[in-house]
Amino acid sequence: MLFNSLIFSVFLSTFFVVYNLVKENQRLKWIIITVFSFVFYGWWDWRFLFLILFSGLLDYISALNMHKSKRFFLWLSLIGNLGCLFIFKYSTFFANNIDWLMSSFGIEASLSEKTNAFSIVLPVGISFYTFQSMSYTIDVYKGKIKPVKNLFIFFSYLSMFPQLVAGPIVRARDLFPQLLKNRKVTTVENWNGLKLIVFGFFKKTVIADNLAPFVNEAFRLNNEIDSTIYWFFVISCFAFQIYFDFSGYSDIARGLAKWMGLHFRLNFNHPYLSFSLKEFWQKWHISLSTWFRDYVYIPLGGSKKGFYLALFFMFFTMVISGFWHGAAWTFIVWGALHGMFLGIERITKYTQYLEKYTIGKPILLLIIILQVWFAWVFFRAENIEQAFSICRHMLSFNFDLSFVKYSTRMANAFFFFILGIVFEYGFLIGTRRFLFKRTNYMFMLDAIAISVITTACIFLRGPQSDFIYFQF
Amino acid sequence: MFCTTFILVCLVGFLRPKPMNSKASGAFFWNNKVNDTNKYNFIISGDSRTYRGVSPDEIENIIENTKAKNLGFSSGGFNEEAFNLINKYLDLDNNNNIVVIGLTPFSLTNSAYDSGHLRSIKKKNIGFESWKINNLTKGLVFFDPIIPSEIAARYFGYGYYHKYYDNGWVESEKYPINRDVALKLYTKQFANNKFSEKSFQVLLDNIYDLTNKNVKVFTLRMPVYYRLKALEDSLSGFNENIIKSKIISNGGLWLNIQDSLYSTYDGSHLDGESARLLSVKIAKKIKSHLMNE
Repeated sequence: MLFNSLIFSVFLSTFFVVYNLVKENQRLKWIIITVFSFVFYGWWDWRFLFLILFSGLLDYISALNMHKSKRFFLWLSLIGNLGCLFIFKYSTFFANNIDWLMSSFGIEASLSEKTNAFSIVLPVGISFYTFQSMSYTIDVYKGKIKPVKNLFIFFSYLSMFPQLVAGPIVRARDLFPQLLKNRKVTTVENWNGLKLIVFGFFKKTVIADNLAPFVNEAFRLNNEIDSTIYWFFVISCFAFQIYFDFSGYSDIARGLAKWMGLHFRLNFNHPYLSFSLKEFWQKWHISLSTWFRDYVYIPLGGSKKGFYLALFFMFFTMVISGFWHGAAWTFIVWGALHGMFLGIERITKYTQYLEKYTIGKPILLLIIILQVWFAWVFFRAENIEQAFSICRHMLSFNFDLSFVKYSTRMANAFFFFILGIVFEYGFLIGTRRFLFKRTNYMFMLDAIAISVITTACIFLRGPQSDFIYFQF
Repeated sequence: MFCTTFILVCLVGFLRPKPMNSKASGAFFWNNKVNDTNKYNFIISGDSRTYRGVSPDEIENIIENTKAKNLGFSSGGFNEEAFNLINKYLDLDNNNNIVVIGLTPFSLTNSAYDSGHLRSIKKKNIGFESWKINNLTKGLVFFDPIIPSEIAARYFGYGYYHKYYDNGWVESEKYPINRDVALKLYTKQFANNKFSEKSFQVLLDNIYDLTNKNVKVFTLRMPVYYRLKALEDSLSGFNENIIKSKIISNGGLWLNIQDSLYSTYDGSHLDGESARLLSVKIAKKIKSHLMNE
């Protein structure tokens, strides 16, 4: 069930009618959230509900029994969750690579033919809810939170539909206290929720969906045009497509949460306006990068075990983060590239040096964008060969402009790319000085903005497509 | 706020430029091809050259008591599924049934035999999806998306216009006209995809079956740009004379069409005016045949 589908609007209306009727009764509220979230998830493929149930029950039981044997139940949870992830997401990847490795020694393993057909279909959002579920048991293990006894409050946390399939990854210690409270949603919260939802839809349906056809076509016909300018434009469009697609989803999720009286933390904070790669990762998919920081990088040792080990831990964490995104070498290289660029940044400290100069900031902005753009090539490419071929085009200094002929997709992409820049960086022109104080005028301006954006969502929407992060 | 939004949506909806290719009309059009509940006594079948090239309205105007439907599909071939659809729409209790088959060299290849377009529409447009398209989509034409590049395209004289008719015809125009576009495409297409005896045999068998059910089957080769016709003859393995004689020996009838009377916008597909002209020509030829019987 996509957020931008007719069926979701029916689902959502039904949910809020029922939710508002029962929200005074805590237990009933959790049951309703769980049941509706299961319907939402089961809409894709009801069979995968068993997977989320298994993952959830395993962590629920492990956490409850952790006082008996902390280590055993932690390992049980980790093995169970990572095992599911391995079977459904990574088994085909490993089978293919083992086959390839064995065949280079002349041995016919044919593992890929033997992998279960069920594991070839990737359950939507498996990486998100598995990580969310694991973080709960780890937090209980570390004593940061107490295990919950009510099964429905646990499943409300784990399967909450606004963020179930593409995040933001919510921490148990953030959400449980909110779920336990019975608070009234204020008018301002409802208003802010509406704003987030409308702006989120605009990002997804107007900008991301309109950039997608051009990007998809470029990657499908990757060898037909070799101009450097063309490929920089394609990758810029993809960078905006993935950003608006994913941050749009996060905004909608946060808006829906506000309507339910909950607060999800900010997941994107203008990442393409970063003056170091470290800053980029503090602004991009914040819930995931902090997850990796707290549950991978720091437990490995973080920066406490010396400079060079910290560099290695960081590189390792980035590679794992790449692998989390997808079972393909392209994602691993994407993570490794980020790890390498972050390492260079940490060793040379060039960002701190350049920041001292007036001209330094724009140069830094350009450097970070170039690093992120080159890494995106690997993220989007169908395979490593295609990624290298595109990188070659981008570095060939071929300024041929013959590709600039009339093409509907390119003309649209150009229009929506500019619109994306205006939407994302509009605040830089200093609109604050034009803002009224918090008076009725401000709400009036907001209302007009919401009306215009809603109209744009209706009439400028692109071809409907899945959210990119659903596949992770 | 709701009032402002309502006013804005109405204003934009009424003042917006008409879409060159309405998504909502397109969705309704394709759904209606496979899920129409009416019966017809005149069916036109073939590929995109046929659904863009033959207007059922023109045929109904010339041949009295005719209810016609165009059942062409993109890259459509003549497999059992295509003939099942024809049989579904024909009123077999009626003795005046006519089927017109628009042949193209591509339509008799293995690739066309798969009829992927027809299959995907049949697979997708079922149950609630079909109900939704049938009952809601027509009203959604008002909300068709505005494509910014179309505004610029109109200004620079570019554009690909589609007008969908419920009877299965798409009136099409494309600017600027470039008849050589199809040459490159079909050279590539016929490199590994040639005339298929199997596909042709299925066509012949079905023509034979239909004629045994008292259905008159007329076939024609859809007119195209003369250079494309020469290219198709040289690359596809389509031999018009042999095909014509085999169709006739299986009970079918052949309509000779003079290509030079019609113009295409891309070398392959007829523009709206030529499609009307061809439809009139087909109808007149069939009418004269019926009168001479």
